Amino acid sequence: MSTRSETIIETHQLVKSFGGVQATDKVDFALKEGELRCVIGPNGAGKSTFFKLLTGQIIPTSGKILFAGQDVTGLPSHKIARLGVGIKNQKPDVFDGLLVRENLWLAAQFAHDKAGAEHQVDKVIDRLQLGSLAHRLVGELAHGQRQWVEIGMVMAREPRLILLDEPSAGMSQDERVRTADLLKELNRTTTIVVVEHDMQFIKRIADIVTVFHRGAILREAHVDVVLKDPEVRNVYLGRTEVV
Amino acid sequence: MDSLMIYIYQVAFSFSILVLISLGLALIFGMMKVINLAQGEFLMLGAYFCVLFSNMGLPLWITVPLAGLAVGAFGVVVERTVIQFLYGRVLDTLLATWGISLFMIGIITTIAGPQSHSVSVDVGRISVGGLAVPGYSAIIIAGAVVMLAGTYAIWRYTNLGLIVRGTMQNPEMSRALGTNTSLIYMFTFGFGSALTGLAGALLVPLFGASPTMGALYISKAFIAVISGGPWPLIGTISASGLYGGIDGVISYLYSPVLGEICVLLVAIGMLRLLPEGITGHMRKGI
Amino acid sequence: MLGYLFRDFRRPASERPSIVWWVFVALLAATLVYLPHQLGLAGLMDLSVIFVLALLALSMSFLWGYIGMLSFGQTVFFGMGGYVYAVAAMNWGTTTLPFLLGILLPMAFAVLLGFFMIYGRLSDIYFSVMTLVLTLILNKAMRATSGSQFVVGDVRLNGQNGIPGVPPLQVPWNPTVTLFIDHVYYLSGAILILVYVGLRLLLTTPFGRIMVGVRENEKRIELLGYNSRRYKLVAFVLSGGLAGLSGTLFAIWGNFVAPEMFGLGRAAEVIIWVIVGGKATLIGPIVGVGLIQYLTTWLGMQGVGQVTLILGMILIIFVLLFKEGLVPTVGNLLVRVLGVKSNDAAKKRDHK
Repeated sequence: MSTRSETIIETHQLVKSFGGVQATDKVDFALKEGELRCVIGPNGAGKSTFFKLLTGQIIPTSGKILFAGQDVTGLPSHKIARLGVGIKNQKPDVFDGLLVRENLWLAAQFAHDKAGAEHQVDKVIDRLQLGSLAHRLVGELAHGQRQWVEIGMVMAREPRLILLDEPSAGMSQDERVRTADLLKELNRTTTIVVVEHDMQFIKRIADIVTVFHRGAILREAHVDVVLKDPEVRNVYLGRTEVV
Repeated sequence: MDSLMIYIYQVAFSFSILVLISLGLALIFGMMKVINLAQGEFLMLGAYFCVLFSNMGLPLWITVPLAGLAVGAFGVVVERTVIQFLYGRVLDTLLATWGISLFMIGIITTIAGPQSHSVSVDVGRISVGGLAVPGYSAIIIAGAVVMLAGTYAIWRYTNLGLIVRGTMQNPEMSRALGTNTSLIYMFTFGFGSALTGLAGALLVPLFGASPTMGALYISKAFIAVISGGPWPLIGTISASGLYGGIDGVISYLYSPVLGEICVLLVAIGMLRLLPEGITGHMRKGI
Repeated sequence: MLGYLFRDFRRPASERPSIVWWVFVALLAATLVYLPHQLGLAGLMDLSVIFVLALLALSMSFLWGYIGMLSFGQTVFFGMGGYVYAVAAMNWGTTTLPFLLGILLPMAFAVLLGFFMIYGRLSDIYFSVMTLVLTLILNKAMRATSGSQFVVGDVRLNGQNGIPGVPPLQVPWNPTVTLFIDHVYYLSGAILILVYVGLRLLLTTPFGRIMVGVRENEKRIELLGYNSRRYKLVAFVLSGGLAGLSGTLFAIWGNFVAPEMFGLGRAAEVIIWVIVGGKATLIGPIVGVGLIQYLTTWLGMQGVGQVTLILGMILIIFVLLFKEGLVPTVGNLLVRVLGVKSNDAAKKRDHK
């Protein structure tokens, strides 16, 4: 288990500015392989921008991104994905005109041969209990179901690092619990970073929490410590009763 | 010295033609991300109105603005009957405006016949660096400058211009503030069409009017608008400057066809570097 | 049965086509063989050109329907294929190599264009308009070649007038035998059916499925690790080759090439065929070519001078009201009338 202590992703002084506005401001972030990290912060704190930078969807203005020790700054997103980074974006980002099965297949076939891909699709469908939806068009599904399909696609790729941007948004309480359990299970083999707003969800899964504020990291500590931190409560939570 | 004058004239003339044929298109594109593939036929319609009014005995300085108004009204009709149903469906607007283009060629041929018409304006010839050029070129150059300045003034100094610019930058916000964006789009489409009709009318004394004349202009107009990018005025001026320079010099030295091919090659190369056009990365503009 | 067939037309699935579809293809082939017994040579010529132009329509709908790229410039490759064949065949006196060049050179040109436009990440609308501009300017350039200085080998390009007397295709293993009208009919019909089947089966391959993924969500495809630009380039080059093949066959069919092959009118026709038939289907564009060719001939006989006017109206009406095209619209109607069960049930049955 020596690999589990290796740093899988780190950023150095990562800056992205949009016309003078710093969406992320000199972010130094590091994550050990095997961690499950939650990222919280108010709207506009730069969390989604940070995820997009990590996956090559946008190019940083300055700074550096290292994945497993390799400099990936400025690489196109498909190359970063091939190194083993999977992402679920904030809005469901799926193939609406294709069947659930076809969606998963597109994710699975990348890392597998023909038979392996089909097997992998079956495995993911079983695990997410999507069997009854397998031959439906994804565009016809409810929001929460589409979130599941997207999570399924990320799983089917079997990446080393999974980034999830608000995976439980639009889900029922029951679905949220299932998602949280799923993430914990996935975390046995995969490193995960989750952006979330739902405190119940975070408490259920988190260990270390990183707080973003105005494009920079404000705090990084154990979930219980962070939630009691007066400054965090001030900028993010505002009302104490949320906790 | 003489040859320098000739080059300056050639470039200024090509620049002006490009501005005339593409400004209306650029405004519509910048405002609502619609590329009107019937742009050439809107020019053609302006030219025909010019011929029609001239045959009624009106002088050119009246026929040209009248033709602009008439084409602007036609543009409003097109926007209300076709374009307004296709906002947000970018590729469908291309297809529908192509249909409009075919329709217009067909209907003008039916009404006025396939032959070419012309209006003669005698303003003599002027000498540029020892070369005698049609005096009318000066009117073309002046027309382009007036069109740019007028558009800038309306945009910059009128309330309507402010509303239009606001809608262009953030349609949702404008709607939330109570602007009827649908009307603004209609107005912009009409205004762009009027500029195009004006240009078509201005060009009649040089190139005449015929049903298929649009095809002569559109390739350059599309290249100018795409290379110019989202900001209509800066985009049109910079793209027209670039391609007017190339086209003017090469056309004068070799042939107009070669000039156009060079424009295309430069455009393809440039779009490789700046896929969103010259003004694609500008966050502020006009 | 018809219902299943129409569903397959409407939304070709990534699964292998059903037996019903194969029966349909066999029927098409049988009709192709049977028709010459019914039609005279003039009828065969009319049908042949529909087959040839259907290949051009397929080159566009394949690109648009499968991977989501709307290219107005398919006529560039079409004209290029025709001219390459004409010039090469007239210079060399042999036709096999020119036939292949008529496909390969347009593909090479597509690689070059793709490097600039696809790898430059041009947006969809810019890509469409630039391909249109390309067609316009090449047409103009070809028209300007009437002077005697525009010669390739021994062949004058002749500008506006085109090149007459393009040699007929020789049998590769026996150059003394050349193809006559009925042979051209069989050849173009067979190629059309092969291309149709080939494009349909392409959808069942990983490449085909990934193409469809690019159409549905290019960003997601990239985030899964696929280089979407490579798929777009390959699709563009394939469709260029297909259009080149169509142009080559067109030159062989008419023994003639002219700048109209690149023209705005032809480019508009291709769009109309595909829109009317149904862009996301493969059978639609073929139906579209047949219908529009028939309509224009009929209008001509009725003495309607301005066919353009009517074509323009058809284009506007289809974009506004029948976006999917005829084949899917009629297909949906038939599926409803025939009462075929929902997608799920049908799928399950297909699997058995």
